[in-house]
Amino acid sequence: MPVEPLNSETLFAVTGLSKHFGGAAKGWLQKEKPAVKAVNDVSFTIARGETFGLVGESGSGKSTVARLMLRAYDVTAGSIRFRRSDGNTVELASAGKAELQALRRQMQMIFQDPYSSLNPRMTLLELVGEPLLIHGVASGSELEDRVAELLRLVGLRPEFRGRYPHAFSGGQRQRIGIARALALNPAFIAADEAVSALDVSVAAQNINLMQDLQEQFGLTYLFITHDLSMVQHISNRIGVMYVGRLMEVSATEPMFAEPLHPYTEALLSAVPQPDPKRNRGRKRIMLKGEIPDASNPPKGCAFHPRCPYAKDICKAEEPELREAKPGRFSRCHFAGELSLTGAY
Amino acid sequence: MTDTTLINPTPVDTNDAKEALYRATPRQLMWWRFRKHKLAVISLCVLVFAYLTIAFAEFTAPYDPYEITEMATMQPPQPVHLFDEDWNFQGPFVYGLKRTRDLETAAVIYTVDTDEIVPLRFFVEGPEYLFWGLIPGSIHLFGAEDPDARIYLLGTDTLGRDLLSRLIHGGRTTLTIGILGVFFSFLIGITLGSISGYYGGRTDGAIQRLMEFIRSIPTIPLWMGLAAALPVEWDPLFVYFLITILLSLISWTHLARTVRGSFLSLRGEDYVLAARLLGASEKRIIIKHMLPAMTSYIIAAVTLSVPEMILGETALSFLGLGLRPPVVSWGVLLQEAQSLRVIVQAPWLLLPGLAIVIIVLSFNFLGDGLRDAADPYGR
Amino acid sequence: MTEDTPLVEITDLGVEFRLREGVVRAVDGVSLHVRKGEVLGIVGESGSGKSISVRSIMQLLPKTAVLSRGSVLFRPPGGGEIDIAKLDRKGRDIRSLRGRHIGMIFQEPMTALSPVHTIGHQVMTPIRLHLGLAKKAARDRARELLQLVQMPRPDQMLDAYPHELSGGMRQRAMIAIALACNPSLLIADEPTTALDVTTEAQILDLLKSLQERLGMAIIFITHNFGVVADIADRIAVMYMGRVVESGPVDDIFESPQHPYTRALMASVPRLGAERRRRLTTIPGMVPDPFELPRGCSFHTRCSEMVEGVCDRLDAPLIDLSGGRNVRCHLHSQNQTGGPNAG
Repeated sequence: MPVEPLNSETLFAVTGLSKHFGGAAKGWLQKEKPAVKAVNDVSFTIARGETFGLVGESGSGKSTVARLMLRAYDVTAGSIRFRRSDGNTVELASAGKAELQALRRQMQMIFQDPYSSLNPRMTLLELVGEPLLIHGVASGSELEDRVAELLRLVGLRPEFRGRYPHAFSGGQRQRIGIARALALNPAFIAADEAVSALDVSVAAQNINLMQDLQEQFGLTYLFITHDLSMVQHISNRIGVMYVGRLMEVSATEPMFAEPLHPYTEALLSAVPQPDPKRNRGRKRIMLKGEIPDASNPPKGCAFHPRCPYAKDICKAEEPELREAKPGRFSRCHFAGELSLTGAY
Repeated sequence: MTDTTLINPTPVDTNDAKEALYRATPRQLMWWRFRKHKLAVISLCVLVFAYLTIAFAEFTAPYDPYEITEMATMQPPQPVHLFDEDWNFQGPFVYGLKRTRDLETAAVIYTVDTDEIVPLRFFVEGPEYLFWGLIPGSIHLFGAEDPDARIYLLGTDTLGRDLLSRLIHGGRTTLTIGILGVFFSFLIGITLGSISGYYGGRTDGAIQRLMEFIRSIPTIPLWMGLAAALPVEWDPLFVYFLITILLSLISWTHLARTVRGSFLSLRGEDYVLAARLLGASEKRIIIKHMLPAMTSYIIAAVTLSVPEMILGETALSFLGLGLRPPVVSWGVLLQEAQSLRVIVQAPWLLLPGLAIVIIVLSFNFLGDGLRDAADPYGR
Repeated sequence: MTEDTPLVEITDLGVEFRLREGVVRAVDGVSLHVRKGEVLGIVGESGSGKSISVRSIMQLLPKTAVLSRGSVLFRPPGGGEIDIAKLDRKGRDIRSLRGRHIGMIFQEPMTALSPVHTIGHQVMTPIRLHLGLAKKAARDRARELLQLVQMPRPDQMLDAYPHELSGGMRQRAMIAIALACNPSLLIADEPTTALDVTTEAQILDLLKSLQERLGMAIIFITHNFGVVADIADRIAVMYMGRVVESGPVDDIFESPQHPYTRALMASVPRLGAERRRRLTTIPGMVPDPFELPRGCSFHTRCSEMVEGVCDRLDAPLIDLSGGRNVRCHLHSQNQTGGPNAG
């Protein structure tokens, strides 16, 4: 199947991506469950060397998007094009086992939970060396040298390689995960809530490390988080997700200055600021109600029951993600027409 | 200042100790954790002792379990003494027993004869045996100095057979049935459990329903039916083998459930997903990441299901459905102690029951200890 | 009781964990007070002892913890004064305080709510226990409470089970239970940490409006500077079992005096702030609680450490003007000339 090639600046192009879990009866004598539409018609691109932030609240499907891009799950519908290091474009959504196996060297993941993402029964040498072994890159003393180099790179002492993960704090374990992800010199790393479980001072250290590594190796990041201040700090462009849909995609500054979707506005307004005087002066938008269930989203625009600007059309018709301003996309019937408040 | 020194008395060598902890392998961590469980450690010792005893049954048992002594029927246990009545040290010995008959009821009465001292000696010449049916020998762990004299530490049964020897030889049958049976059910359980947990979907559904079906069958009637199907004239050893298979055919479901459960929970672990995203093959994921995490749980589950087997054998034999004399097993021994007359006249014949309780409890405590130690990373 | 007498006054509190590996001083000489109708925010990273100090007000410490010294004075509205530190942790006296005069809400409401009882039942329990209301009256009061916490469809929710509720609604139910007997103090231990931003904003808004209406004091524990800036009147910053700085919220955010507070605030990216290339970090790691460094426990990571002083002597607690306190050597040297805050 011919794949439309990506230009040299683009690393990933996701088009109309959907993932539904469950649905039809899964096995013999088992009961049918309603399908959970975790990801619905998501489209965006990631440029080479940039950090793309994906924000959203729990159940928004942001983690699922990352896992689909790395093909931890099978894709229900849509296409994920990836530009390989040799310049050829591949379609990941339909890639076969062998093809994926080779591609895994070029894309890696950092997990949220630094405790469960490292096998407690393996030493640092085994953990960080595993990708090298699997892909036959190095073995023996060469492997040890490479692991020592990787550990040094993330600020851990190479002498630690005989230790097990239980010897390390959360922040250090996260660094072990980063070293493992870097082992095969990937082009792309998806960081799924990589610093959310850490204390602020430790999170800051690891964020700086990730940015240094990006500079050093020209990495492209997909940075998934629910922390808007963090995503603003690290991302060049941001996608905002809500109930499996991408509500807005835009470069960071313009989005925070002047959001194009009412949900983005509400999110920005909800973040408590470490500035007591400003908090008092600010009028916050209080969203009514709760996040809808992904197995039973509302008709029309998924955000309409909570949207302060909702009109009749919002209840009836689901808007498309469209380019409302140059390079800025919004899934709102009134994108560009409303005057929404940003964070500045 | 002073109280700071009180709190950290050994700042020097803690780093070595810590480094050891940091480099401790999973097995070491499990052993450290297991050691804290005192009851489990004691149980482990009890079980090691019991299995060593039955492994060398011909040697540890003083007499042949089938040797009938007509002049010593239903003889009470002879306690071991170190000092005689005048507090003179004699080394371990037992007093002789005088056998008389009640003139009115004609019942046999044994009275202790404090004049007759039968010394106990270790590694004495005794009745000849074939060790494991192969190596001839005649040395026993202990016995009377005189090869023809008999001492019965736990008394004798209605035919005058030494209960201790029967207990040890019976233990060989019962305790190996436990292990063998668990081995079979482990084979079935781990195969079906891992297929079920790994493939999921329709296969899982089918295996689950089969397990539920087996669990819903009332066991005793099933045993009775199956035991009745075994021809009486078959070799007792073959029957023994069939009984273990029978028991394991019923009890594998528990193990399968454990295996399936840990497969399912491990599949969801982040580190398994991480390995998959690194490009690890299914084989590598199972061998390197899933099995090491599961083995400890499986060992614990296996340990906890041994008593089930032992009790199963005992119950079957007690009901006369399992092993039959002349084979000795603890169930067979208990069956012989079934009648009220025997219990009243020779209560020591219930001692095999006590042995079963001790062994079953030990397995349970050991299993508990292993289960607690199985996940040394639990927070 | 005059307006200025604190409702709760913790003085020189010490809590120790005596473990096989050694003694951990989770709380080491903490003094705090909360006045009537005031919101005190306690900020700190994990392991700072913020939760343990506040739980000792309820005598809700883990079994291995020992309240080794200090006093926790509580002055219930009826008058009188109780030293909670001296009460038996399972006794009748502490139980009559819990739920009656002091309410508490937790980070994860699902673990604090009973899964087998309805929300109505759980809201009614403290009402019937402490206020002795009959079933019918208690149910009416429970309905009122659910309305008060802006629970949607309160009548239906009385008969709902916790698993039928979303995270935000469960937290509302927890608040209703905590407020059931009109307590004079509400302890909130990271109540919004597990919630999404928009839900967090709803709950913070609710707590603020309830505090205004009912006039209870709140002790709010969090690691999030944004949250504490939003809700607190006064804040206390904790590090390794000690309060390193406390004072009115505006002053602390405007001019933090302790190097730790400054460093911590700088390491959080701010929404809408100018983008910086790098975040400011605190060098090093949190010290091992079994082997706290000598002197000021922050000196190993402090950029303004004075050799020979900070690594040797315990930092003194310095009173600054305007109800501020700071535990730092830098201020003891400049006590007469005023702090040389950077």
